[in-house]
Amino acid sequence: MMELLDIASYFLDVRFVLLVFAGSVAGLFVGSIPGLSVSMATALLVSVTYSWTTTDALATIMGVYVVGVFSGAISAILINIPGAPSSVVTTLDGFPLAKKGEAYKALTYAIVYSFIGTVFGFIVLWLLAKPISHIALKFTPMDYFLLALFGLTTVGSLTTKHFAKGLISASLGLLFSMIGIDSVMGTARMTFGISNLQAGINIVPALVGLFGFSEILTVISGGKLEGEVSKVTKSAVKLTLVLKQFGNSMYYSALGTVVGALPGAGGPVAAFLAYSEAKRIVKNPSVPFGEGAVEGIVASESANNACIGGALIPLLTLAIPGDAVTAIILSVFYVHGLRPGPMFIKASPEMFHAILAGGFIGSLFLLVLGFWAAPRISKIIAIPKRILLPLVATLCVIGAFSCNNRMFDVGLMFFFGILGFFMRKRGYSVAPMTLAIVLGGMMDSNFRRAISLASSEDSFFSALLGRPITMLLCILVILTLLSNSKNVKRVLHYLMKRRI
Amino acid sequence: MKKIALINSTRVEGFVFLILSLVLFIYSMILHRLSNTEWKMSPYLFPLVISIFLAFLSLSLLKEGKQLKKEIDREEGVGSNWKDVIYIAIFTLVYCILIGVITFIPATSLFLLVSFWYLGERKRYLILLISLLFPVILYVLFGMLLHVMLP
Repeated sequence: MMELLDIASYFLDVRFVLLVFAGSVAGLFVGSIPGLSVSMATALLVSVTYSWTTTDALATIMGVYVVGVFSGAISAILINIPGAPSSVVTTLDGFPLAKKGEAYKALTYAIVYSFIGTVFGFIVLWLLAKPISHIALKFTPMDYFLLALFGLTTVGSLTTKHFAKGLISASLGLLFSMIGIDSVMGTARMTFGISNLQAGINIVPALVGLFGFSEILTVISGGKLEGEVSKVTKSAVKLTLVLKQFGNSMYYSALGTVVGALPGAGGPVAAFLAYSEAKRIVKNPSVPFGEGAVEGIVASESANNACIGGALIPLLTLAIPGDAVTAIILSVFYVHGLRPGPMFIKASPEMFHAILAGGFIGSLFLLVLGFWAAPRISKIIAIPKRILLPLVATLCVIGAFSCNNRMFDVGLMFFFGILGFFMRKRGYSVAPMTLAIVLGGMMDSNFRRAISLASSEDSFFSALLGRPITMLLCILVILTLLSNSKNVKRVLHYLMKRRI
Repeated sequence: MKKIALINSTRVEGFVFLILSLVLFIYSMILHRLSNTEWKMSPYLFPLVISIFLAFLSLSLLKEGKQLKKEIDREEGVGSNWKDVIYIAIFTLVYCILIGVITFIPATSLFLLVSFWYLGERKRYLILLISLLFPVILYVLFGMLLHVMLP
């Protein structure tokens, strides 16, 4: 009850609500303009909110996150270009519906079910975070190491077509995280005499470079800078008709929350899964799927927005980010001296409540801004990229500079931008590298602590890997590695064929 | 021709990562020896583990490059407008250097002017308006409201 009151108190805090609103407006634009991403905006925001209080920073970021994920659907429906990867599936039915002159109807379904998905995800976060934290309290250093490793392997497997490339990206990220003064022994490592590197690679310029500047170069490289915008004519859409999909949306939202909680899976996977489930369970859609079925929009939007709450579960309870945006949010915590993990909710309940309140208020703004601004936004979506991209490049430079007020970080941003561009170009996802840069320090110190503790025991291996949780995590890591091995896949395929 | 180039680049990547892992391995071994600590506490233990992991991955990439002879796929949605990418990267690099020399507002105006023009915007009044106004707005916003002292 006290918890509920605490969360409700944020609804009365004008400053908090205004900051969520500011973030929501930013999220609406960033998410709906193809070429700008929520992760890019959040990375830029980390640098801006550097000197703010944690609550203020979280309020703004939650607004961007919640509304940004939804608003990818606006451009998906109006111009057939998803504003965010998680809205790819929305284009399948959203754009055909818009082409039929029913863009407003498509937007209404997207708004309502994004709202429902978001609220569902945050309720699950609220209910599950504490029990998971209690389990996580039993974790040893080796468990933390394995958990982070599991996160990296799943990110590696889900964000790129080639598993090896995903893991290479993660390995390079770990390598970057090793640069600087070692936290255990206090010696400078891999700094090569550069004094600016002694404090390590600052996460903010790395993120701004990998997600911001590299994205600019990728958009320029793609050359596709314009698109045709569908006209939005307001028409009456009956709410009772829209809410007919409520039952199914609960199922898609549950699916989205679970997928979101898996490190690295994220919105696109959730939306695809929900869409395929919708095709399976909805026997008589309004029109066939792919031709403007509202059921497809419901599935995609419920699932990808429910991912937000899901992705925050491992972040807050285990310090393992569920996706790129939560990896950036993790850096916000570190920047403000907070340590997410099993003790987080107990030690900083006000931050947990601020996140929940930010999510719920953000979802309300999603509803308001969605209905008010989404139909009017078509002109902004059509801003030529030749104007937009240089402006974003300027923001990237400022973003990198502002975290430490030094030009060295701008250089780092440029380096990571170029690196990120080439990685994308060659099919290496930048997400595993980001997670690895964030988690590397924690993995290193826990790994050495675990080895050190185990070496003082009689039986080294049973001390290191003998506990049930450790064994379970080991099995999970091995299964992830094996299930992505081409040889294992070939054997499984052969066995399946023989059975048939 | 395209096919051969793609096969080779995957193998080249594998080879580059293999060399990187070897360099990292040798670096970790040498510096560990110089640090006079036990392996369990050594700052070079984790880089050593990464180097071994990276070596396996690069070998798998080399193997994959060999197998790619049959299946060639273009990379995820990225085209190859190289000239524009190189120019914009150079503009940004020069911009980063210029900030330290001629300060933020003139450097940003110059960068925006050149970039807009290069990317194909031809409305002169629009270019001038945004190039002159945007840096000032940013300077005021960051400098006065967010307390970020821009150069």
